[in-house]
Amino acid sequence: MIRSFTLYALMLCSAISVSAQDIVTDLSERQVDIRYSFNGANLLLFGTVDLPQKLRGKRYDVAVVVKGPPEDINVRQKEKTAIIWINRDVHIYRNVPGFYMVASNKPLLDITSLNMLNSEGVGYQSLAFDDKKHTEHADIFHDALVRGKENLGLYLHDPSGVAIVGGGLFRADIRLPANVPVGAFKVSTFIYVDGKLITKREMPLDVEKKGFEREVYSFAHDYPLYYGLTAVLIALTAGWVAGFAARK
Amino acid sequence: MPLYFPIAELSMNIFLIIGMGAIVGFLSGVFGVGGGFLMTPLLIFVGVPPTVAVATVANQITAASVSGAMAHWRRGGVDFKMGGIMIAGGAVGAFFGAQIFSYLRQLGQVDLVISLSYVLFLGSIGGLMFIESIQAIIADYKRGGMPPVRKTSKQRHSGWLHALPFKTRFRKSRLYISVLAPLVIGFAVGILSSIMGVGGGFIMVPAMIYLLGMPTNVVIGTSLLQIIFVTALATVFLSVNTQTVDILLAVLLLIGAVFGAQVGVKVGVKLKGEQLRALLALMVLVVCAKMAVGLVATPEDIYSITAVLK
Repeated sequence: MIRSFTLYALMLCSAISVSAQDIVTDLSERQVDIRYSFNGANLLLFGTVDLPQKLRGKRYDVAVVVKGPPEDINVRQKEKTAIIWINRDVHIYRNVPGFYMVASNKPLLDITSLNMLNSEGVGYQSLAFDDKKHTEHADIFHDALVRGKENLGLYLHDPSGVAIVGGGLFRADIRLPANVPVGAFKVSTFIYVDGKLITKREMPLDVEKKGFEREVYSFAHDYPLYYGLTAVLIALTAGWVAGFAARK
Repeated sequence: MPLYFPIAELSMNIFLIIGMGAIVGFLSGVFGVGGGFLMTPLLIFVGVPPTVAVATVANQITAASVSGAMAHWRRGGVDFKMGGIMIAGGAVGAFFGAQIFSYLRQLGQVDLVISLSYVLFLGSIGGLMFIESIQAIIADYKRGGMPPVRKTSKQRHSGWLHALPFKTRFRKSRLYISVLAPLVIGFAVGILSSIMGVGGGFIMVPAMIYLLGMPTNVVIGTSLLQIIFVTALATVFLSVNTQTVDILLAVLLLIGAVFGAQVGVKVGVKLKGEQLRALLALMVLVVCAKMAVGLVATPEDIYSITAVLK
């Protein structure tokens, strides 16, 4: 809890102190619409960095972090009871990023130290979920959460996902799967030289249901009774039409 | 062609969904069952969250039952009085079932209870049906194809049933029994509709034949009438409680099911009754075994993650 607060504070402070001119990034799309044909989205992040005078000509490293809207997650542990497997122990994690992708031009620990990564929230190991229950098994549940998200394709890490094109130019592919959560995303880019964070840049990214998908979803959640009645009405009509057609 | 389903929140191939609808529709046409007990596990198997599968299939069965009930009604195969009483019981059952369902979802035990109910009910019904149909096939073979001896009206009525109060006459079913019996059967089936995402025909039809002693020609039509109402109510209750009915998914399954059922009915009339029952029983037992293995086998990962409900 405290750790994530300080993390936030740090991010805010440094975002202000970094001059906006030394790094420029953009996304191929700032807004992803989930429509009926949505089957995931591929975004391209590209950027250019202008290193300070004393570092000109040096090699730099890039890490890109994409964070989805926070959600609360239950992690359940099955236990064999008699002959069947039943969910028993449960840990509830608050404010877990619904999506988390980290990409870099080489393995994170080859870029900088663990402390440095953790202070900026780069990498799975930096994900500090709020857990009400601090037991000795907390680590196992934490890993299970990351593993579960990875299996769903919602957590990704790609140590070669950033390509440094040269001349201060770099690019990264961002793949959002079909089951991506909707809401406000944050795309952060970090530039390191010799293991030190030189500059960073943050961009918003919105993922939203649009058109028919959005109508159906908000109808179901805002007016559940009318939604249910509509579903029944559609079923009755469809069945009646089918029964009528079958007789012909 | 991928299609994004707004409530299931995932993208699936449109032809896979219509195809699944067609296969289940075909089987339900052949065997004269709603097919919910096949459709729900199938949807879960392709990755639809169990809660969405249950609620959506309840919605789809409403439509499938309407066309079936219309056909039976046209040839006088519906006992409206009996159906009405079972619907009353079923309405209360579906309401309680939906409450139980959302409570289990909070506990994180809904998948377990869905699987357990499938194993329990499919196992027992499938087992009984299989034994009965095999006996019938053997008896038929011994008789050399002569029609079986019909049970008399007296034999059709169970003794304990007459001890119950509030007796009334059901003209269409030619029965004089207590209203409590159909009320309780309707109630039980209502609960199952909400929890298992099935119409409950596979429980109701044997109960009506063997417990109530209804004549076979009104059993299917009357049970379909009850299924229309109970699955409709289950759809509404589940929409309100859990918001898990995916209309788009239900409609696509239905399109496939309508075409599949037409073909299925044509194949079904070519098979003998006891052969049909034996095949259906086998199919029920296979689904049951699949579910049972899922409960007993060591899971790949003993940890699982789900979103916390708001």
